[in-house]
Amino acid sequence: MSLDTHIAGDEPVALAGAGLSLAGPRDFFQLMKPRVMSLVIFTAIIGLLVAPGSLPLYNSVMAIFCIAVGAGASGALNMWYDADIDAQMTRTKKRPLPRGVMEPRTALTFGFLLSVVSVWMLGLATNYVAAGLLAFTIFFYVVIYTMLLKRRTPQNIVIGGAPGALPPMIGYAAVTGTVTLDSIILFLIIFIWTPPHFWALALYKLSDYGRVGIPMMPNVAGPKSTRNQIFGYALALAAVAAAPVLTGLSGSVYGFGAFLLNVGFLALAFKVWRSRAGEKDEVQPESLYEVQKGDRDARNLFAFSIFYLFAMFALIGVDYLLPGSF
Amino acid sequence: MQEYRDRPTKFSKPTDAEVKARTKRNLALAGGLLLFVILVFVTMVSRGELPGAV
Repeated sequence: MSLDTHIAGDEPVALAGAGLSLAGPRDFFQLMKPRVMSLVIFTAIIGLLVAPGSLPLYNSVMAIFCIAVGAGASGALNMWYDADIDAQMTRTKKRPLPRGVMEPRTALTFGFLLSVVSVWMLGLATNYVAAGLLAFTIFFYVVIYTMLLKRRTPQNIVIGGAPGALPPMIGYAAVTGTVTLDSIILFLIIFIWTPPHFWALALYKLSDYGRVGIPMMPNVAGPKSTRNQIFGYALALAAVAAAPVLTGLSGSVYGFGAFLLNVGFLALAFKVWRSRAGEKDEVQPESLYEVQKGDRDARNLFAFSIFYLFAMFALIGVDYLLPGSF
Repeated sequence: MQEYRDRPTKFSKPTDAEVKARTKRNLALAGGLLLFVILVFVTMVSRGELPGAV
């Protein structure tokens, strides 16, 4: 009997020894995009919390676990498909596949298995509406966003924002087995928040996306149009943020906090709108400082947007838990 | 009867690091499978879908 350790000539460097993968548990965990997963877990918990009705503790924990694993699975499948461009961007070149510690088919198998297991387990632990929504989320992220939109249109992250916005809706559906106006509002908060969040990043990381040919809005429509759209979305976001108060999903604590957060978001988006963020290509030496300052404004908006989303959902949760906040 | 197929001609012994990484992965796979079986069982019991379950 012979060992199956035949070396192919074009193995990645890290697999050059006997051709066995060096990937460890940490690499597989990294494949699941843990930072994205933390946001998914948090928003799903809030969806589950504010949904009318109740779910036994075990089933609630299982629901959150399955949603997190499903999100991780779509992250792994995304990294499998995007390994070529990930290798060329500073932000992503240290991922397991570009580093060569893992074979692409390993990531594909890992992502596919986790997808099936998480959807099936969610259906078993809660209901098939929630499981269907999770399956839709994974499909949308991998097929619609990663394979079809990301490399083709500057609207990639607008439409592709949907799967990132679905976890609170899945959490909600895990309890109720339905999709309601309240869960759609939770979805919309993240959905409308996504474009200004990513475009603020793209404004000062313009060259990275441009180099690999991803049509982000600043590369295609230009920095000025992107800044206009960021401000437009910030206005829309403020309007959507008021909706939980109008429908009775949240009360005064949320209302007050959301007001302050949206004033902050609008103020930073306004600064970006007035700035020259992202205009590196046409920059004259005398206006270099203005562009750098604009990039700082874009970075501030990006950083604040992360805090904003966590804080908005935390407020919805706190408002629900505090008695008599209506 | 002669069987024709591509036979590998070059072999190399896995390095210690490779064997260690493979062992870790195998253990993680076994653990994952065990956890999965337990979770399915507990979930079925929690739903009262196992015959004779509480």
